[in-house]
Amino acid sequence: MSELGDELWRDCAKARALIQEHLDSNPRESSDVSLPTHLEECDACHEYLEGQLAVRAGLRGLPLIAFPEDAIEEVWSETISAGRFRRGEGRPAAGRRWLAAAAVLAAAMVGWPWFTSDTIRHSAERTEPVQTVDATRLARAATEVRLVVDLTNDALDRVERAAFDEPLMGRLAETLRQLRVHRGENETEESEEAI
Amino acid sequence: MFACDGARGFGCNFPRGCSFLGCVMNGDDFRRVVLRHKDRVHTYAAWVMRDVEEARDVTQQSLLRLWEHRGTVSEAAAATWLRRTAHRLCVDRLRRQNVARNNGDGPLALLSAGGEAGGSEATELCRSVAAALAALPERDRAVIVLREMDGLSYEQMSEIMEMPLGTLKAALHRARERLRRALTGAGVLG
Repeated sequence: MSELGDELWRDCAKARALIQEHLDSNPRESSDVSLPTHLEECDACHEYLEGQLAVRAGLRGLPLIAFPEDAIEEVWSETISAGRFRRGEGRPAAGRRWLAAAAVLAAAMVGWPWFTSDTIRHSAERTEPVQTVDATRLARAATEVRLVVDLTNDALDRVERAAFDEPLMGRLAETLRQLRVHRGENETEESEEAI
Repeated sequence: MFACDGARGFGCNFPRGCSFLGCVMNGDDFRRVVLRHKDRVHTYAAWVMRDVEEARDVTQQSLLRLWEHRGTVSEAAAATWLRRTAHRLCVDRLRRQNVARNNGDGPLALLSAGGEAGGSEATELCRSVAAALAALPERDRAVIVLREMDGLSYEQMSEIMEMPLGTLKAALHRARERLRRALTGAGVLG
């Protein structure tokens, strides 16, 4: 192959690689071949691009092959409708349950001494402002503890749900939700009365 | 900091789709996932197996396995998980059948019958493309269906087919080229 022909062939190979990348909407940032210019000059690559676009259109026009209704009924009957909950099935892995328990323990270990510390107890009893505790640090600590407690509550909720809610087919979740709504209404009423 | 939109219904504070403590799928989640993905998984299996009956078994088995693993698979990860399971089942079955079997008219039969899966949208070009696709090797069919029909990303495909990204891109390029050549040979493309 002559030097010029060799160069053209190399350009075509690069242009076709670029066409593939453009088809995938993932064009390369830099290339020594300008695709639009090359396509204007090279009929073979232009045809190649049109061919690829036609193939893509044909593939995208292919319909989905529907999963038969009787097959899906069989799936329901062997899963949800059967109501079978084998031991350990669908529950968080044991490692995760241990992790949740460890998180609860850690939160208790961190939170309890802080709540029962002399500084806090005395600060509640004193009438004058506490000079030894920096208010900013105290506020930050309180926020952190609240975050830990929130996370722990979440973890407990999830463990509770995994342990009880699923065998009860979702009834516990609904009851808890209603209790929360009810509690929220009561709190609102109480605050209105207080006002 | 936290991005959950309460997908669990408990005001969970973990990122959506995380599997920490299990974004455990309950019955409703499972039903939703199945209804969303069943046809796509079935289509994928039908094209890879080239046999609609086999595809039905593969899809059913994949869905049952998802139910068994619902404690470790989050709803967000279910799409990729289902396809990967279906892919493994297809490969196992094809290997057991010694690959030699060629039921090339499985999905094609549905297209030409114009039945529920065919329909009027199966144009002449689609039929030609389908015939050429069915004649490709199993791996080529798999990558093309995942990319062009399912519209999955390279990363998802790499996870499903359990191959490195570079190998996957090369496989996709080769598969497209083979498909184009087959169509050119059949006179569909100029």
